[in-house]
Order: sequence, then C-alpha cells, then structure tokens
Amino acid sequence: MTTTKISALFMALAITLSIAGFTYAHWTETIRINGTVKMAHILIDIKSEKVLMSKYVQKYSSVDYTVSPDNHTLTIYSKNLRPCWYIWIGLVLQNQGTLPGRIKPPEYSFDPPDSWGTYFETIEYFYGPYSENTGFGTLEVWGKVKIDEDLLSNGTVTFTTPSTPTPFILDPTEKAVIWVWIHVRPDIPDEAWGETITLYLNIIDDLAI
Amino acid sequence: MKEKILTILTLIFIAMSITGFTYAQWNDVIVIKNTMTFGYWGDLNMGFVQPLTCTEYHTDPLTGELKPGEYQGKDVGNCECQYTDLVTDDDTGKQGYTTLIITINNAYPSYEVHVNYTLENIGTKPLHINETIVSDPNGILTWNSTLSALVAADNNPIMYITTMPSLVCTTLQDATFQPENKAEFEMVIHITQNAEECHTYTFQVQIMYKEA
Repeated sequence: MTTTKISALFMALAITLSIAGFTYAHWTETIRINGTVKMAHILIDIKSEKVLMSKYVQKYSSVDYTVSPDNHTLTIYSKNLRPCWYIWIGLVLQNQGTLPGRIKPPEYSFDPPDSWGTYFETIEYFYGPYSENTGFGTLEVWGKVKIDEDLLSNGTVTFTTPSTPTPFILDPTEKAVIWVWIHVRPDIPDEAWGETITLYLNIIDDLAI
Repeated sequence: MKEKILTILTLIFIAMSITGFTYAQWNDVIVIKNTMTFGYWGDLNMGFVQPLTCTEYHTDPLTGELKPGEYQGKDVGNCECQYTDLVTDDDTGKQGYTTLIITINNAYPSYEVHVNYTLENIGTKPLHINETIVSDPNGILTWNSTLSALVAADNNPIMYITTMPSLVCTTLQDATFQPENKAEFEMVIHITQNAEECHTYTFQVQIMYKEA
C-alpha cells in the first residue's frame, strides 16, 4: 500500500513538472526590434584669419592675435588704445560638422572689463557660402585684400562682391568669409586712453535645421 | 498483483542500472545525449515579413502639420531598416524574420522617422502579443512608459518611441493573430532637443507573444 502511494506521488510529480516545462516553453516566444541612432554634430571653425591695422594706427599702437586650440575663438591683444583706433579682422570659417550651420555675427567680449565693450563699435560683412575647393588666394574678398583700399577707416568696404545678408546657411564642408571692423568711439573716457586691451571674438555654432 | 508488477519494474530498473554501470566501467566514459522536443503540435511562430519601409517626417513650424521628408527638403539625416534572422516554420513552411534592425545616421533634434513593418503568424496556432519591453541594450537610457520615451539619467527624454496601433492587445483582428494573418504597425522614433551631439544611442523593443 505504501509502495502504491509513493508511486502515485512520483507520477503526479512527473506530470506536474512536464506541464510546467511545457507551459514555460510556450510563454516566452520573442521577436525583437534593434535600433541604433547616431547623432550628428555641428562644428563651424576658423580656418584662416587676418588682422589688419592701418599704417596710421600702427604709429601709436600694435596688435597681436592667437586662435584658440578649438578654432572657435580669436583673441586679439592691442596696446595703447586711443579714440578712433580701428582694426579690420578677417576670418575664413568652415563648417566641419555633419549638419548645416547658421552663420551669425560673432560674439565679442573684452578684458579688462566687459563694460569696455561700450567703447567699441563693430560692423560685419559676410561673404559666401563658398565650396570647399574655392581658391581663396584669388578671391576678391580674401586673397589680396588691403586695408585703406578695400577696407576703409570708416567701416565701409569697396569690394564689388556683394555681402551676404545674415543669417545664412553654411552646409557641411562649405566656407564663408567675415570681415569685422572694430573701432574705438571718439568719446571714450580719459582713463581708457593708452590702455592695453584683450578682445575675444567667438564663433557661434548654430543649428540651421 | 500490484506489488508483483512494481517488483518486476524495480528489478528492470536495477538490472538496467547495473548494465549501465558495468558498461561505464568497461569504457571509462559514457556520454548521454538527450533531445526533448516539446510542442510537437507546432511551434509558435510570429515573424516580420514584407513590406518594410522607413520614412523621414518633419513638423511644419508654420502649420504644425506633419509632413514627409526633412524640413525644407534637406537631406541631412538618413534611416535604414532591414529584417534579419530568417526562420521557417516546420509545419507551414512559411518564412519570417525574428529581428528588425533600424539604423539612423546623422540624426539631430526634432528628427523623426516612421518605420512601417508587418507581423505575420507563420505558424499553425493563434497568437497574442502579451507584452513589449523597450530598453537600451547599453544601459545608458531607461524606458519611461509615462512619457513613452527613453530618458537620460536626469529623466529628460532623449527619444520618443511609439507604435501605432498598440502592439499589446492590438485592436487588429480582435487582438489575435490567426495563422496566416498579417498586421501592419508603425513605429515613430522622434529625437528630442536633449539628445547630445556625436552620441550613439541604442534601443531594443522585445515583442513577447504566446498562444491565444
């Protein structure tokens, strides 16, 4: 009798386990959707730069400049500021990202204090976009540009090439030229005379889509 | 009588055990191979089948209307989708794929892709999708079902993922895929402003199904 009970118990266990295994096998059928999203990036860099100072201003002032390692900022050091001091800054920008970028006027900051920004006035001229393989050496707005002939002391230019209204779009690999006139106002306070100043000109990455 | 039968069965087991043990002693090694096949009534087989398309869309900023293609006809991002892992149902001979691969390149905030895929019951039993699990195989993003989005550690959504009609308890065919039945679904993937440049994001949607 005891043997019969044990046998029955084993049989019941075996049947239960079989059912459980069978049911489990039918629970877990799966199909899958696998997705990968690679994000683009925007990167407008300074590829080339010119800082031009007229002979008249060079008589009392000097200028030096560097481009930051990330090619996003041009830093200009200048001595002995005076009213009506001016320089022309030229930049070739290139979109080295994978997205179209929007070309906008650069941002300016100053050291000593940013409040000195009120002593300066700026005018920007934009040209382009140009394809990557454009010969910039012969380009009217870049190759042989001369201060006081093409770029005048009053902030105007004499190029026959019309400037491009901003903002405009620079597609990947395309280039653009910017000329910036930076001028010290005639009415700066006396304490600003003869000062040394550091000017930062930052390129803005702006998505154009 | 019962005792006699049990005694005979026990003797058989003992005899077989001794035989096996003796054989093992002779040969040093025994290899026992066993294959157990459950479900001989037919496998549960749901597969991806054609047609499969992926299309870019954008929202017109002026009208708010959803339009195919990228904004202003640009060609910046791109999307590819394909099926892999082909299986054949033993009973019906029908074929389907168990994996759908979606690859989006050069994506940017607001980029949106609609993937239209088709599911078919290629087996012999009626099926029912009972659960979907959305996840990031790399563990960087987590699924927020309230937002229907994969979110970053700060809970900001990186990409919205929605499927129309709903996969689970789909209203198609009374929530049941009868054998040979097909249903089309549209998965919308929308990249948000929180997605970071130069990053690669991954996602996986597991579609679990069982016999209806």
